[in-house]
Amino acid sequence: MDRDIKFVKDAKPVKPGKYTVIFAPVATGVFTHESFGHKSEADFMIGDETMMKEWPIGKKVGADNLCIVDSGEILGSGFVPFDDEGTKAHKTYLIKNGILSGRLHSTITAESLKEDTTGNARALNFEFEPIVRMTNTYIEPGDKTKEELISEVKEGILIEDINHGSGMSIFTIAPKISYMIRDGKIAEPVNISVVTGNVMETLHEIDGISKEFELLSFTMGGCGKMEQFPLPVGLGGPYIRVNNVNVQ
Amino acid sequence: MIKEKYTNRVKEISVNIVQTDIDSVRKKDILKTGLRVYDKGYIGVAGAMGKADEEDLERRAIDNLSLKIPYPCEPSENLKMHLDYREDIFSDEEFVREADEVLKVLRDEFSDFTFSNKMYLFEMETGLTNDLGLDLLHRDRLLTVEFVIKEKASANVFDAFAIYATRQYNREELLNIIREELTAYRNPVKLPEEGKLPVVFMDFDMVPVSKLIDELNGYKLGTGASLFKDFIGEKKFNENFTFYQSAEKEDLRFIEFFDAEGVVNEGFKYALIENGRIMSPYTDKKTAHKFNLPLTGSAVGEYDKVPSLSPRYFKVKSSDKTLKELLNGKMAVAVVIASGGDFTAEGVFGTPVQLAFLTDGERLIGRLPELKLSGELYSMFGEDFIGKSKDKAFLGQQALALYLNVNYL
Repeated sequence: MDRDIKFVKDAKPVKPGKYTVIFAPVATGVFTHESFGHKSEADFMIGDETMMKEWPIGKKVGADNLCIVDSGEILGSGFVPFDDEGTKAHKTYLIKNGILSGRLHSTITAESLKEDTTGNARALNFEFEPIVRMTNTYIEPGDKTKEELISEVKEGILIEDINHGSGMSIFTIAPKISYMIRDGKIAEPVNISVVTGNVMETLHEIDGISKEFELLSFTMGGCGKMEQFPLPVGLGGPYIRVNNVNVQ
Repeated sequence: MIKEKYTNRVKEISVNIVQTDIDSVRKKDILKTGLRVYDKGYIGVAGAMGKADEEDLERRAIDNLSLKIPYPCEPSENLKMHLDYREDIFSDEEFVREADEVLKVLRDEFSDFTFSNKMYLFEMETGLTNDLGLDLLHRDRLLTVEFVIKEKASANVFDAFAIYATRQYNREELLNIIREELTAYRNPVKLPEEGKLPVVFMDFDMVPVSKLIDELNGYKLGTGASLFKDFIGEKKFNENFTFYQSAEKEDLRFIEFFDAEGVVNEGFKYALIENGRIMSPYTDKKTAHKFNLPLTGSAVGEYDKVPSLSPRYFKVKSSDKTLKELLNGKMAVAVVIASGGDFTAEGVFGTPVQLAFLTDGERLIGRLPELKLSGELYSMFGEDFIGKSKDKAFLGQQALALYLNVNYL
């Protein structure tokens, strides 16, 4: 709370521009969920030849050290040991070492694309039909420390906490607590309306991933997909450093 | 002890659409009943789905008084209003046939796009009665279309939306909205220039007014956390800017003309900002009581929950001008999808725009590249406020027009 009070008192508007940005685990989680997780939901691909051509398993889609996972096996708000069609939870690598490795399925989408089920058919409640949804979605930890990530940035931004995020072809994150990084050190607090970037370009712009890792659960809110909101999900990851992020 | 009963029945048929074809049909008929009892400044609530045993509900609600949930306010009383906004649209069978016909037209005319998601025929009946003579009943029926549109050649999950909600369905009206949007979509254009430009949003788009809604929250203002805490009664915005809470017939979409505490505003509206002057935050009974604020009827609550403060429907008052007249010969950026933007604590606004069109105020001319918008709260609704159109000039919706900084993303 002391951090938040000091932030509210001291934060000044950011100078808009493109920066190297370090996302804290909550921001990493929202970025992962919104920007790539939804793209991995296979119901968006059914009958769509363009999507099948653009998203073949085995395609290089991100930096070499990037691994993105969805798993309903982990306790927390994304714990789904069996999905709403009765399929057992899986640990599904969506991206492994930068390579597109899997996608999320219900039985219908798995059959349609001739892939295996993944335990991701979920309904908000009895009023709705199960559709493809995420469970716990996260980036796996890397080999640097948070301090190392920060120390290698001449001028950039650290996003410690966020209000919300969303993602289509462009991802957006509305930060709540952010600081400038100057000469490798955390500097003054800054107010930012939104940071944005092209999802597919940004996955290649991740150049550092921390050992520190946090998977978060939430009691309020959740994921929205069309009419079904809010569905409990878990998300998180390490601190990640991303270049060329648009900051407003 | 005072007893109050809330009932809500929803009947719905929806068609699920995949690749511009009907994939499945879903029907609902759900009754929810809530029983509230008020005694000595406390409230007890119990609820049930389906056919409820009211005596059992009452017993459970009385038991729940022991939870000592404070309710230091009087329940609403002596008001009987039964409003029935239902119009004949379709039978369930006719609705499914109509959905099929619409999709057939879309497959023929827009073979370069796919349409998915849902069409709904939705009927609701909500009642609130109590021992003090409160007897409110709202009946409504709406046909809504929520198409997610994807260009076949695109690698995006989706590229556009089409939204349509009506009590009096007209197929050509729906198709013409989609025709205008997708004809413009096929025509890529550029901004006249980067910089400060007129930008228009659809009436129901809460992105530009989200900060007003945050800061006009009665609890936030009462606790001194709102930007407007020292400005009640002061003129802070444009003379032509009026912002109000509305439960008028034309604005009701799946909500009732009364709030969860049975409050009905005169004329079904309550001005929070009037001609630029901040008049009041929005409140429920507890918030109004706690902070000595006007009661604006902004309580929301599920059938089995204690009513609490939450935003209902807000709108900007319309001007007496068309969008064409408001723009006065200028071209504007018409925003269809601006997802993820926000205001900072002090009111600086920024958002990316995933889908926008260039408009002359009468029609959409062409699709703009991805953009970013920025502005500042007091300017947006002060000197940069242009107005809200009286006509539905933006894809079947009235348009809110204001100047914002517009740049390519």
